[in-house]
Amino acid sequence: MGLIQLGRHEKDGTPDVFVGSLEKAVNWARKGSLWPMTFGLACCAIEMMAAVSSRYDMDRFGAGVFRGSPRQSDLMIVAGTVCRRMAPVIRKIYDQMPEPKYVIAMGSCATSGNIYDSYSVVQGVDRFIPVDMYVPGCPPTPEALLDGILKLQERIMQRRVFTTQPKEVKAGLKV
Amino acid sequence: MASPPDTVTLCDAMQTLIETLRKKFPDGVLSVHTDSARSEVTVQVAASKILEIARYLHDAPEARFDHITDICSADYPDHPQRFEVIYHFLSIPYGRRIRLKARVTEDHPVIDSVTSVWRGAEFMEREVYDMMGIRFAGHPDLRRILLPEDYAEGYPLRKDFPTEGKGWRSQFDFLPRLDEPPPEHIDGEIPEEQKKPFLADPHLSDKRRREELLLNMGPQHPSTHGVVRVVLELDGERIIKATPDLGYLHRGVEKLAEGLAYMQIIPHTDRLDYVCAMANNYAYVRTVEKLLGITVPERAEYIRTIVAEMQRILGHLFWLGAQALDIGAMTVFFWTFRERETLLDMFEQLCGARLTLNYYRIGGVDSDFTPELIQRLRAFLSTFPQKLNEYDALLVSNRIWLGRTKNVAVISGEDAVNFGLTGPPLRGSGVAYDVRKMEPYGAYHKVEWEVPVGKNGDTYDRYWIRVEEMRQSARIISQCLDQLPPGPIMADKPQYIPPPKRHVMRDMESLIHHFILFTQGFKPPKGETYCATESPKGELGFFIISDGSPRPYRLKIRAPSFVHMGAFDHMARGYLISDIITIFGTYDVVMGECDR
Repeated sequence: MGLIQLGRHEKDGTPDVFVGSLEKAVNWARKGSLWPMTFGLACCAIEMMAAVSSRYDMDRFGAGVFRGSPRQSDLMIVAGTVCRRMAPVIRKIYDQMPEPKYVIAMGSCATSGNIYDSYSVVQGVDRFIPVDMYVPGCPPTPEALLDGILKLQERIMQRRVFTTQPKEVKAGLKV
Repeated sequence: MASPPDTVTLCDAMQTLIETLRKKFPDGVLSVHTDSARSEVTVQVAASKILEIARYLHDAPEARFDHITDICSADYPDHPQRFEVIYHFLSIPYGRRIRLKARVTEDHPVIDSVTSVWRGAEFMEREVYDMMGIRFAGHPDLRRILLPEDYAEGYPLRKDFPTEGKGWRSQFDFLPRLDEPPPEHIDGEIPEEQKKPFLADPHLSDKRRREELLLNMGPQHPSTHGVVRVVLELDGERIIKATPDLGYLHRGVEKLAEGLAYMQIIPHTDRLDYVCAMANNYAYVRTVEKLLGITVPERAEYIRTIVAEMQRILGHLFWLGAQALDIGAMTVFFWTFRERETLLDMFEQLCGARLTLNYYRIGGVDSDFTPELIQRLRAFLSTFPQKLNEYDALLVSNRIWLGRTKNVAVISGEDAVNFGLTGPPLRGSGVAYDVRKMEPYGAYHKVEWEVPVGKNGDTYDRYWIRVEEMRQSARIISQCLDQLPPGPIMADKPQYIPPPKRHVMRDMESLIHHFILFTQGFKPPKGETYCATESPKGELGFFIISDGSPRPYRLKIRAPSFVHMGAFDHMARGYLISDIITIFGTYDVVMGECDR
């Protein structure tokens, strides 16, 4: 975390005072408590569930508290094929999530539409919401999803909290 | 594969039926086509007589086609009567199928609805209307079903409709423009003065005024098992009407399949019912094999049966975990996923993937079982019944589980048949219809197993059936492993089946053969066939029309989940709002298959 330890406790010598940047502390707290939203669209949702359950246990990385409501979540894992009919719903849910919010496009369908080059499938979720991390695979294995989450956490650590974010993040949305 | 005497009696009975049909409806029956190789009977009927003929087939004691399998349509742009509506009926008491076809013109695409005979036809006819634009006279609620009601591009399955659509898929008019000020309230949050949550009935103005609440559930809801939306009309806590709104995962697989070679469709079938992908592969390759007339080697049949039953266990384990989780029992979910992972490891060893497996091939399977895999499978089977008892211990004497599943979502056997239900929802109501017993395929007729049948038709019975089916699947697998014969795993039909990879890498002829099959695809004979397979969800059927080209002219998927959703309103009425989660779960709906 890049903290500097200043003193030790008088009696037993355990660490006592830390000095570090508040930004890092905030980022550290954010990355360690990513609450994803229960938002399965298709096949990838099954692997997302497998990532939470017994063997892979996503909770180890602080990202296992799945919430049913977008109001309580930080992370939207778009797991599955995004159909045009579902697109406004996804956008609405994304808008309802409180800042700071992150989006992982899980699997080929959410990334680019995959083999579904058809009349009803949106060719990638990034056409209407900004995506932080793309996880490839059809479907990605739970390990791949965990890797995506770890990469996202690395990114969160690099964010600036107390300085204004550059506007490009939102303005860069191109349809 | 029915034994020869059976085939003869079946044909005789069908012949008499066809004769009666001809006599009764001299101007209704236009022609009859009997495909003896595939034992299928197709009757071309006049569109104006469809309802009378359908009613006769349903009611007459010698016909008793009580179960509606599917309704689909095909488009022949060059034919004077452009559209064809195709009906598949099944008679459960006699165990036979019939296909009716009726033609309608492009100018007047109207045909009578058969919803008054089979209530399950309601959703099927809506789908035909949605995809092909054929209207059904007398249908109670003819709206689009998979595409939104205001979809304006036309009817996707018509041959003149481009696969990638006409631009709708990239219209994102809901995106706020960047130069606009942020909205006061997010779209969807209605301002206070516009909120009218209670729809008071103006005719009931006395003291005991009934107030109905409209409640929207989904498409994003943790317990809807995918993306489905239900509009609930509530009277207090009671459901008085539940309208499912499907199509949030409509990927257009049937349209895409028309542009793909037969072999290329197998990966698409993986992603239909993605919980048990191989069950779909199995259903698809069996249909193509039936179309081509390929006999699969015995070893391959056994391997297919084993793998299909492993998938059934996988599917039911997933269902059990999810259903228990929905009802509030978290432990079961973790325990079932533990066994699921063990099975998934074996699949990973078998074909390299965990979920979308793509292991079946037309004419056989991709690779053989290794002795190590068989050993692992046996080790799994030796402990699996014990694990099932563990789940039972968690649930069977659990008062919450009993209270929330017993007498919830009851459907009578008669209604279940009328709605076209199949699989555990039908067997839960006491109808012992299982494709594996009625029209045995694979190695099912060579091993001993039973079809569990429920009594009450409630959620608890369906739960019991699925657990019992897992036990039976374990039985089937271990018997198949004992009997597993040696031999090839691919059929020998060079015009359809590519040579093994090791030959392709070595000699030129095989390389060319492989190249031609994979670049051009094979050409099946002209014809059409329907083939049903018992998937964990119910009867999964594929209907293929081949025009002799390397791509199917029309591929229709008879998805059990879709048909089951047609009975949702019937099953949900009168129950409490807290039961809706249970009712959803009890079908074991997978939206990929439902919306296709």
